[in-house]
Parts: sequence; structure tokens; C-alpha cells
Amino acid sequence: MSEPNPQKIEQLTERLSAYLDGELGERERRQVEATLSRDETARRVLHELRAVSAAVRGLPVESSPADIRERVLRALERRELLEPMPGEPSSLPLRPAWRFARLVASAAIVALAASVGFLAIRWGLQRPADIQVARLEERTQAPPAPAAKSTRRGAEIGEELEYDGALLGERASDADSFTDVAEPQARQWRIDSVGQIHAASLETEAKGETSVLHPDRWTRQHFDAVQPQIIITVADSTSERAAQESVKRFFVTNRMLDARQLPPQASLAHNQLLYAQGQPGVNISDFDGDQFLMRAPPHMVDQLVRVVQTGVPEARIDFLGADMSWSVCSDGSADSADASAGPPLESSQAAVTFSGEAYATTQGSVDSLSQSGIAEVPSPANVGARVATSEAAARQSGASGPPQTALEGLPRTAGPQATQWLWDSARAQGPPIDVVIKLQVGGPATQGAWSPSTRPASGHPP
Amino acid sequence: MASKLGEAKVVGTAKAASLEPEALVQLARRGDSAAYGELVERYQDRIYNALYRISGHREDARDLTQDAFVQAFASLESFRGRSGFYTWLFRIGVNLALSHRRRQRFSPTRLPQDSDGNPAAWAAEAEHRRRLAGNRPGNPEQEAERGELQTAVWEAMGCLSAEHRAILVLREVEGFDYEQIGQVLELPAGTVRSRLHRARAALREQLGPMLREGAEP
Repeated sequence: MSEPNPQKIEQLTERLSAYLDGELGERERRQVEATLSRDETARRVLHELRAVSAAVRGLPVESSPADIRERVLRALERRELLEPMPGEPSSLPLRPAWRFARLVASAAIVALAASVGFLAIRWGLQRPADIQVARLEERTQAPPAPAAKSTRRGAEIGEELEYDGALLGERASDADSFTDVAEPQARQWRIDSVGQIHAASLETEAKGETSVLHPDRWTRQHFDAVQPQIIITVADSTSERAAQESVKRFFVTNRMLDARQLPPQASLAHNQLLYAQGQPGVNISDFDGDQFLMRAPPHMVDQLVRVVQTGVPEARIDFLGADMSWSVCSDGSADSADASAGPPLESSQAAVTFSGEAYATTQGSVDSLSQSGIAEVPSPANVGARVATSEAAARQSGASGPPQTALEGLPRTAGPQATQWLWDSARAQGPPIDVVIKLQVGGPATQGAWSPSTRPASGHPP
Repeated sequence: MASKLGEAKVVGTAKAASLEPEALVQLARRGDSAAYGELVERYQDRIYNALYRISGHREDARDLTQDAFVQAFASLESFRGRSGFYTWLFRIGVNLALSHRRRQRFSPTRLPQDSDGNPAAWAAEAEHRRRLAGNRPGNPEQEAERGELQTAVWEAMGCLSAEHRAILVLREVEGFDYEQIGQVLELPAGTVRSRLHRARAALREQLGPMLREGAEP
């Protein structure tokens, strides 16, 4: 065989691998057999692949530990014992027959919570030791619609709830109510996308399990559990006003249903009041000098990106969801965290960088993307993301930064799609997406260019 | 503890042993611990070995096996029987194993030279295998050769990503076809094909000289 190029060898090897498994279609199989009949290298490769296959199969089989059955049944029972019903002391024995029946139900919920993963946000809460543990069986639905009023923004407990610099505590505005639902041994907490509070003790955390806390105790203060807050940071106060007006105009002119709280000519003060009251809709508030903060429903996010990107060139938009946040930088000027992300991106691409304190959850999000066809398989039907290797991601995160995994090679327009998808997915399925997603748009050519019509025709990674 | 579960028995242990997996699942759903215990016993070796090959560590494999069974039980209500119980269980186990590896990979205590969690564990296991091979009865030379190959394969597996190990195990050890692998890993068939190829290619590169020793001309 003449020296083929590496790409052809790769293709041939892949075909031979599938041939070995009997997984080729008739036509491809014939082609491979024809190649094998005339190509010595192909025959050698096939032989080696076969040898690899045999070598893996030939690894000796071992017996599992003899006590697996007992351990499984014990673990199921232990899980049951740790979770008393509301109002029942944990030591109150239940009739065994009931115990097991209830176990089936409760374990299913635990599995649901565990299966969506758990991200430990170290909020560092201290709780009294005698508070009631909530029952997880009761927590099967998203919390009811938020109450209309909450007046304790930035309460003392809220100030502790910092996550990636975001005032996540804005949603935990009542310290007393919040501690009511604390699990005595819990040390880590999170709120998922449907507003459930998960708590984990040292023991359960090690097993990747959490308890889902009783909803009645806290839903009233978590009025925006399913709405992202959006903080728009702009270069100066003039831009800030421009951005606010631009965003408000957008909601009004588009008659967005969720903007119903916003009168057509709503003043900033009016919006601030709405925001302070925790009203759903588009509520805008001054935040910190050159920032303003607003609430909006998730499905508006990608549109907002476009609005702000086109209206305010030098803006960074931080979206803070119930358990996710992400930033959009329109000016390409990376902050210190972004600076570690490596060289500037090509103008035709954006990067969605996931980071978080618990990589498992972050990776779960990446996996979800992958499983939904967004990652790894570029095609006209998806955004063609390529999941960076963990090693590359680790390099990107730098020595001191949080662990990160990146979706690289996204077409520029894929960022909003990906983030929107993540958010929708979080709402629909409840997987935790406690991540920071940074849409970093590099180069002046990308400014204000979020319209799908500008999506590059060959925007997929090689 | 287990005795309390036992009070919900519907069938005895002896009878459970004679039932098909589907029937055992049905009984387990109704709270029959003997039925679920039978399922555990029936599949524990198989899933343990698979998870051992993916995790590279006995203790991890034991814990993952246990967790897979616990989580499977907790999710029995959602098991629709479209795939077999084992395939479903296996899917849970593989997902747990992959999550476990990722957690390890990004553990604060992770060492810079760790390629995928804990290669030292793989090396230790390889050494264990080498010793086992030396003690096997039979032709010492043949056994040594086989042991050498197994050790090399094990070490090479340790250099792969957990995802690649998982797909190799699914294909080579479990004998799943691409469609079944896709079900377990929730991947499209095309991705299964390319990922499996990449996993084999990586092993082939690692084991190159040993494979070529017996290569056909």
C-alpha cells in the first residue's frame, strides 16, 4: 500500500474496527473486504485490532465481594432510617411493612435528586441543631407560583450566599425561614432550577446524595426561583441608562408576556419598586454604580443578549439563574478569570466555559449537551460544540482558578443556543447546572453580531 | 436492618432463585426484598467486573456496584422494561463510574501527573496481576507470557479515559452491539463507532510491540 495520509488511515481503521464488530452496512463491508484483499497494511491493522479486542476480553474475571447483597439491602434500609417524616422524630419507629413500602417511594425521589446530580455550593450556613428535617417524599413538584412580596432583599443570610460573586442570596431573603428547613447535619446547599433546595451532610455528600427539603417552608421567599436575574455591567452610567432603556424598550415593543408587570412607560423607579417587591416580569434595579440588575424569564435570555449586544457595545451581562449564571462579554475584554482561558478565540467562534466548584455536575451539563446532540457531532442540525479534554480544561482554568471544562469551537451564535438549551433543560428536567457559562466573544468583528443571520456558514470546528 | 426488609417478602429466597429477571423486578417493585436480593446476586459478579475494568480499583468497583444496585432499586418504578434489567442496571452503573472518575479527576487532591484519576491504582493492580500470573499452575512460561500480556493490557487500560474504558468494556467484555452501547451510554450509533475506534486505537498504540509480535505478515 502506498503511504496514505493520516486522515485516510484513521478512516480505514475506524471502518476496520466496525468491520471487526460486524457493524458495517453491506456496501461498506464490501468496500472494506476489497481493501483487505489488496492491502497488506489494512490486514495488519485488522489483525492488531482483533488482538486488542482479544486482549481486553482475556482479562481475568474476578468474583465480586461476597457481601454485596447484604450491603445493598443495608444501604437501602439505612437510607430509609435517615429520613423521618415531617413532624415525626427521627427515632420514631415505623411498622416494618410500611417502612419498606415507603422506602420504594422515598428512594425514588432520592434517586431523582441524585440522578440530576448535586453541586455543593459552599454557602457556609450555620444552623441550630434542633431544627426539623424535611421529608423528601413530599417534594415531587416544583414550588407553587412565587408569592408576590418579599421585602427583605439582601438580608443578612443573603449576604453569605455568594457564588462566583453573584448575589445568589437575593433569593434567600428570609434568614429565619431559611434556617427552618435546614437539615441538622447539612453543610452544603443548593437550589435547583425548579426551586428545590437540596442539602447534603458530610455523609450524604460523600455518596453524592442530597435531601430535598420541604417546599412549604421556603417557597414564599424564593419568588424568582425559575427566573434568572440579569446583571448588566456597562462601561459608564450613560451606557447603563442606554442599556436599561434599550432592554425596557425591547420588552415593551415585543409585548413579552412576562413583561406584563412593566407598564409601557415604566419609570426606572417603578421598576426598582417592582424589583424590590420581587415581582416577576422585567424589573430593573440599579445595582452597583455601573451595573443594573433585572429579572426576566429564561426564554428571553438569548434575545436579551442580542438587545444588549447591539445596543450597548461595551457591556458584560451576567445571568444569574436559580442555580446557574453566565456572563456575556460584548467587548472581548476578558476579566481575570477569562484571561486564563487562553488565546483569543477566532472571531467566528465563541466559547462556552463551564466552571463550578463541583466538576461532576459541570460535566453532567456537558454530557447533557453531548447527549442532546449539541456536542461532538457537528452538523447543520446542531451547534457543533466540541467538548474540550479535561486536561485542556484544567490548563485553561489555571493553577488557582476553579476547575473548568470548555465547549470549544462553537459557532458564535451557538452560545445563546447552548445557554438557552441548558436553561430550558434545567427547567424541564431539573438537572443542576450550577455553572458559570461565559460567552466570550473575541475580536471587534463580533460586536453586535448575535443575529442568527450572521451565523457563519462554516462555523463548525474542524 | 435487612430483617425488616425481609418482612416484606412476597416469595421466599428459594423461589426467587427460579424466577426470570422480569418477574423478580415486578416482585421487587412490590417490596419483595428476597426478589431484589436475587437480582443482586444474579448480576453482581458481572457488573462488578465491568465496573472494576472501568474504575481500575477494587474498592471503587465494590462501592459502585453497591450504589448501582441501590440506585436501580430506587428507580425501579421508572424501569419500563424496554431494555433488559441488566442493560438498565449497567447503564446506571456506568454513569456512576463515569461520574466517579470525573469527581476524582477534578479533586483538589489530584496530582499533576494523574492522567485520569489515579494511575497509581492501576499500576498497583497491574502489579497484583503480575504476581497472580506468577503463581498460576500450568506451564510457567506460558503463564508468564499470558500474565505479561494481561499486565500490559491492564496498564494500557489505565492510560485511557474512563469513557474509552467504558465503551471497550461494553463491547469486548459485555458483548453489546452498537445499538445497545448507544442505549447504555446515550450516544448515537455514529459516536459509538468512532469512540470505540478511538479507544481501540489508543490501546493498539500502547500495546503496539506486543501485538505486532504475533502479527500476520
